[in-house]
Amino acid sequence: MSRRRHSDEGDAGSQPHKRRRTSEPIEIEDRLESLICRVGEKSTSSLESNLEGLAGVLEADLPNYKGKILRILCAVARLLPEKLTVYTTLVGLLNARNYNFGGEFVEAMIRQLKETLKSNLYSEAVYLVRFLSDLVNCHVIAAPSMVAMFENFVSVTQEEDIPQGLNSSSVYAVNLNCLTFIWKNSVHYLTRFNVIVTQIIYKPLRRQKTHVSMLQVWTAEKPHPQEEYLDCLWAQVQKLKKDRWQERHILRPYIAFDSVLCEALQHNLPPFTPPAHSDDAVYPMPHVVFRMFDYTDAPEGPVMPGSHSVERFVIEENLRCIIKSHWRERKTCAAQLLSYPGKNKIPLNYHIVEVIFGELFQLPSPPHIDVMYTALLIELCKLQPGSLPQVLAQATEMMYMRLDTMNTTCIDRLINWFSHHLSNFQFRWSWDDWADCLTQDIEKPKPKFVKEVLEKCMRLSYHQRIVDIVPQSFSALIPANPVCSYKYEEETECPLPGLAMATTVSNAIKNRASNEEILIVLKDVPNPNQDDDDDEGDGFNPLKIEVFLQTLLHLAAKSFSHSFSALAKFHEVLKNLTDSDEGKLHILRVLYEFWRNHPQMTSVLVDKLIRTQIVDCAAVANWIFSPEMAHDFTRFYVWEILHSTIRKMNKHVQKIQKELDEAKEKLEKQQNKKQRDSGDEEDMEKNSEDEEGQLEEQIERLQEKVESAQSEQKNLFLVIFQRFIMLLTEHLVRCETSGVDINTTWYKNCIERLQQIFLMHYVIIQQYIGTLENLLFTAELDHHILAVYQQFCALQL
Amino acid sequence: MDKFITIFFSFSFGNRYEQEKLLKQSCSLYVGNLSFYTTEEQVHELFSKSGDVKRIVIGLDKVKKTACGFCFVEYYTRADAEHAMRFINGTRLDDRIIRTDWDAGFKEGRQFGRGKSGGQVSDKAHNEITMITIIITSIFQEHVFFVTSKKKHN
Repeated sequence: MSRRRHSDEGDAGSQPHKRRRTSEPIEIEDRLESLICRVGEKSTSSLESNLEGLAGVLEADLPNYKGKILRILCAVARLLPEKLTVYTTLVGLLNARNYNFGGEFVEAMIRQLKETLKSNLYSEAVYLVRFLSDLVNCHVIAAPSMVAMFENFVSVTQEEDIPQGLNSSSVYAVNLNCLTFIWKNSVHYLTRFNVIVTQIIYKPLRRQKTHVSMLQVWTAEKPHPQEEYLDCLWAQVQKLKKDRWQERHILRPYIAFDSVLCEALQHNLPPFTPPAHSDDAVYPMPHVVFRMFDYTDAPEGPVMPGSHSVERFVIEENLRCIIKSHWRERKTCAAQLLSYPGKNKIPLNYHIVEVIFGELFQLPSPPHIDVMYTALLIELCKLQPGSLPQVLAQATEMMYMRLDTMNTTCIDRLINWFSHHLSNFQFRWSWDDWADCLTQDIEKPKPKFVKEVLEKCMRLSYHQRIVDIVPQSFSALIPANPVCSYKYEEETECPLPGLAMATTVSNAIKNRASNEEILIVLKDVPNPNQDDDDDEGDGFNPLKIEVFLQTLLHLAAKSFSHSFSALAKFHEVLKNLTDSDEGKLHILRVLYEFWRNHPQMTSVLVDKLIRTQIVDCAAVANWIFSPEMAHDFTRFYVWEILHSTIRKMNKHVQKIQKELDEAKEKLEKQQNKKQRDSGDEEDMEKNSEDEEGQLEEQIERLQEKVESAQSEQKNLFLVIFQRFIMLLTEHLVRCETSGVDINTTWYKNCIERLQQIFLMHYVIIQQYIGTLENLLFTAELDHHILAVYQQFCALQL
Repeated sequence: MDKFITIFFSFSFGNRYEQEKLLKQSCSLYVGNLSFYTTEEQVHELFSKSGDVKRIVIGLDKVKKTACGFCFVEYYTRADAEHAMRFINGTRLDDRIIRTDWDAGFKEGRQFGRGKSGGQVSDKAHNEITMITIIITSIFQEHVFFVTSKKKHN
């Protein structure tokens, strides 16, 4: 639905003779859409008079444009939930003027509700139910019939054996509506409501919570517990009930029109049964409520509503809706967030910052791409330069203080956000405030965080810049100068084996030798591993790889492009050298050794090696878990490489699957066409048979390709899980035998990295549950490791 | 003469349609207002935030063959490029606010600046060139239309 700025209201009548007749109704429809979408936004007149005026306009247009008006209103109910009460008031006014229209609207809404539930659009369904319940407050729907709908929802949760997802969704739908839109004057509503609420009272206890810890941003309960969302909502409803359903935060334009609205006749909802569970229903992921501020954090100005107050819930919901509607246009999004109605009564900047970080840290993944939040926060700082940056600094400080219990995935995102943000503000930060991290072991979360942030900052600038921006005392945390380490650099007293060879190879490359010529030169490199029977010398030769790759990388060290060209030019040689699995592993080792001070270069080169099929994904996984990489195992860049590798594998499978599907479609079309055209000349039939034959062959080939790719993908995950289990078991056993506490910094990091694999790729991994349970995550496994697997399984609804 | 005019006419018109079509499908961006010292590494780090980068070509001064303040960034998918246009365009790299625009696709030779002294064409010059092109094209199209219609009446 477009939300065009409509600027030519005055021009509508100008030059009518130039417009063709047929375009007029379309223009009026566009105008109606624009008027409806814009109501409630900043205006010189009051909201009430705008609503009154619009209701009049729409009433007049009903005879000709009823269908269009119905469609637009249904759409705004679904897509603009942050303006819910504005639109329910509008519908109320229309219903008061035209009873039939009101009835048709309600019917259209019910149809829409059924469709959204069928299409698994749960959040939209919730908005629709909310809209309907608010229509009770506008005297459009009779309260008893709405309550009956709620009772239907609750009855779903009373059944035994329903999937957690259906249970949660239904409870959420009912809770949500209990909570927000009861207007204390609707007495009827209230009494039946109290009954419903009591009925649900035992349900939350029935739901299992194993998955919750996997989704929490902080493992500590203080200062703000990370509650499971329904638990929090439940507490908010309880409090609202205790306050006798008095809710003062939501803007309710219909109050001003009460005298008009209560004259209107109400409609009854048709009986509505929520759909039963079906196996292909996709329920929304559970989530945890993110809180980082409370009333003590906003020292001046309006007080922040408590964590179990309804107001808190409503504000967060509305801010999230605004982001959902406008995330693609960051300037609009920032403006809309900052013009939140009722902003004078709340510390809006704190709410905005909390909601944004809540989304950014959401597990398994944020609702929108990470970089959007960075861009949005920058826009907000631009619009409120006197207040928002301070709140943001306060938030950053708070998150730094709580790093010890923050989930590793969230720390990753915080590192990325903070470094990118700083790069937009000349890297200005009071690093001295964080001097406490300097006295800690460098592997501890705080110094580690600072180190990783500085590394990322360097990637966006350059080494000397980082040296300049931090105090002298922070020098241990400054990243290494990203220069290469060429082992054949100088003549030393004990020349390295291969030094002479390296010079030969270097000269050959400089003289534009071809791949064949290089291979011939390399034949003379002795093999330290050589068996006596291996005369050919074609077996895995680590020295050959070292000599060639070190020299090549050295010659191409100037930039990414130079290195990419070099790898492309000598693709043949590299393929030859990495024929075996050992070869593939060794090339990664040599690469790492050469560029160990430049993790960014290492990452992009590993990416290129995979894309040019010099190494495969499993080789990268094995390399990461190899003893040589143990030193860097907890560094951020290593995990970026691993996740990027997994993503490439996944995309590869998707791509071939798509090709297969397209080929199958083409064949089907061909066969349909043949059926239709049968009886045509012999020639045409023969041609189409040939084509068909070709397509069938192609499909067979693609089918094999898909199977092979899927098998490679499964193998990759199995390798990763296996290596994790080995590493973790080793650590646990070692700790047990020496009587040491298992909860070292390394252990926390490692086990959360395992969790991260599950969370970030859960859709794919779910396919392997059987194999995982039988082969890897068996009952014999240490319960600490098994727990991660069990939490993952609990996530599925 | 007729044929020439028709061919030229369809060429200039056709070219614009082609261009627009390419832009709508493009996964490539032109990035302007870089510092002369901005490196490929920095560009890669920033633009990787919206998706996997396929290729970066740093713009060079035609004469000096040094970086001259622009580059091309190509993604594997259109969606990733769109994210860059939404969230990286207008933010800072190396302390300068950079500007991104859709590009029809990198072709060899386009990495060299077309500015007067061999560097990047400035914003103002860019706009002027575009203006002049539009004017000339429309004048020509008008002229062609005039000529062909005149021929019809003769």
